[in-house]
Amino acid sequence: MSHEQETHRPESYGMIAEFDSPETLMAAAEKTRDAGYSRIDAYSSFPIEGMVEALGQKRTGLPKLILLFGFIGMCTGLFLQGWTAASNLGITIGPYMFYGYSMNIGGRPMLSFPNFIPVTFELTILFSALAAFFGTFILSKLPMPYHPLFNSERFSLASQDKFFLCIEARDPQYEKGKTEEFLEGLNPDSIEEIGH
Amino acid sequence: MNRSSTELRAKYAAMSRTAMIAGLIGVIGLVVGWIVEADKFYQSYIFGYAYWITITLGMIGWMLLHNMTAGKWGFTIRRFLQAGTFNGGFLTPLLLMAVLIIPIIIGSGELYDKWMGAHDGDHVLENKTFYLNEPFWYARMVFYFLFWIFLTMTLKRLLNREERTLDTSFSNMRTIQRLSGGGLVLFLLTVNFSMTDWMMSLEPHWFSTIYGVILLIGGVISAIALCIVMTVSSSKYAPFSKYLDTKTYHDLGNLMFALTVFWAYVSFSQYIIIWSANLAEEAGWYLKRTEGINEYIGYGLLVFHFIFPFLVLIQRKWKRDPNRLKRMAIYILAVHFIDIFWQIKPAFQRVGEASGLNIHWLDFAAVLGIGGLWLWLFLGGLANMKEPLLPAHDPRMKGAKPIADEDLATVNA
Repeated sequence: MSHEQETHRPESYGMIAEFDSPETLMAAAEKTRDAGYSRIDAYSSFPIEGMVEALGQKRTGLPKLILLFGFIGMCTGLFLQGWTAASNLGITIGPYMFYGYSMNIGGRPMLSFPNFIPVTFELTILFSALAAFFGTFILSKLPMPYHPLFNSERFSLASQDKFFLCIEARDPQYEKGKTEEFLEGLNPDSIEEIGH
Repeated sequence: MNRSSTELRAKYAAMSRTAMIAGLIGVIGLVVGWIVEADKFYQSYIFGYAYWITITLGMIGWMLLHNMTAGKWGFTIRRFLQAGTFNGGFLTPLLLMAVLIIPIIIGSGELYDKWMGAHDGDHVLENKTFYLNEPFWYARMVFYFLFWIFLTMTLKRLLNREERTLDTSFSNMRTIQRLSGGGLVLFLLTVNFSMTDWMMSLEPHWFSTIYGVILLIGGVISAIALCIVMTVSSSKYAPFSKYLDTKTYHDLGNLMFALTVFWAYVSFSQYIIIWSANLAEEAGWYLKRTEGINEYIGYGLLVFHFIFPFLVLIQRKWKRDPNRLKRMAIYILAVHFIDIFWQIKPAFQRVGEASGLNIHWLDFAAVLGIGGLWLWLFLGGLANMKEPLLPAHDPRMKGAKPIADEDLATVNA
């Protein structure tokens, strides 16, 4: 982290409010979103249906990225087979020369598309699966060995039976006193400010 | 825009009457065709029968699958699945299909003459007689229907027990799950063999181990498509109006999407194996279907039964918007018609002379006649069903998404 960012860093990471059930968390998230907070997140031990919408989070471009990679995989599969099985084309890569080697197998056409489909299909799936896996990893900023929320004692209950809503300090509307007051209006079980 | 379930049932009853009239028109057409052109009649009849039996079987499949897995989507469509198979009483689609196989039995000498008649020293067919012989064919047919009726009848009784007793313990569930699990195995086997018996044996020299699955999957997509059409059409009425949400549509759309891919998978796997081997007794089936106009229908299926619905249904907005989803479901039902046509009708053509399209006005009469009667019983069953249209007292539905107590009254109304 550069020095410039260091100096602008807010004192705390944010403020968390603890709730007892997914329904109350959901209602709180909706109210927070409607109050104009944008840097908010919810934590629970299981996925809650509709929470993404309640938090007002935008959908990522991941599906389009996966589609793109699937398409690249499909083209790779078709090209690889078309080149190696149906042409004598030489391709130079660095100091090496690679040749296609067309072969007549059982009198079938050189470009035997029915036979090309399985490999094309597999490469499409492989490319999109890898894009999905690494895309999710990168967009979620994983691996993340440290997170400020780990500083909270009570937060470990998020992996058991409690539900947390966090308003992050980098939210433009974040003001310690005001935000605390706002969170209190949501009737949480507890409120805590989280340091870095 | 929130209307009562009484109005919904009245709507079903009205649609049921329309279907009955359409069915009777189709039946009159079939009777006329049977008198005028008996040879064409049986070909068209088995095509129409194949269209509707696959949908009926698809509905049984969904019911078994949902009993095993649960999930909000299935509780929404459970009554449609029950009304489309066995719904108590004699007037149910499954019993209708059992009765409507009689014309196929009458015409069996003509439809299956290649193996039911004299073999004329045909070595391949002689070696198949241990399976393809008339008494065994009838015995299997009786067994299939008895099994399907027994299975759906028992499931109907078990699944609706909560509605009567309001017993919300899970005591019933284990029986239902065991029956559905075991039933699913035997169901898939009976479907596979019945499709072999009735459709594949039209061309007795040819064989494909995945043929029954291809037909079943076509029916399974169409069954869910029909359920989607019904769900969306009922969505403005109680009890559906309060219960349905975007997620349910999304799930139903995803199931339809997944199965279009599965249909392509099994269809292509059959094709590539036969194409690669290129053996005379297997390739003939595809030769007939890739000659003349049949070839374009085959390519058309690839585009319109797979690529187009794949590209449409992969998009969220098409699955989450009920009206778009309904349009896609109607589309799937139409494409299933072409799929079954391409599978069944070229069977009556010979290699080398299949340049024309083997289409006949009786094809439409058969689909309309059988379908009209089918929908008459299906919609009529829904209109007169004793149980509420959502299984509100099913303990597993309470776990998936319970109906609010204040809305229970509208469910039971």
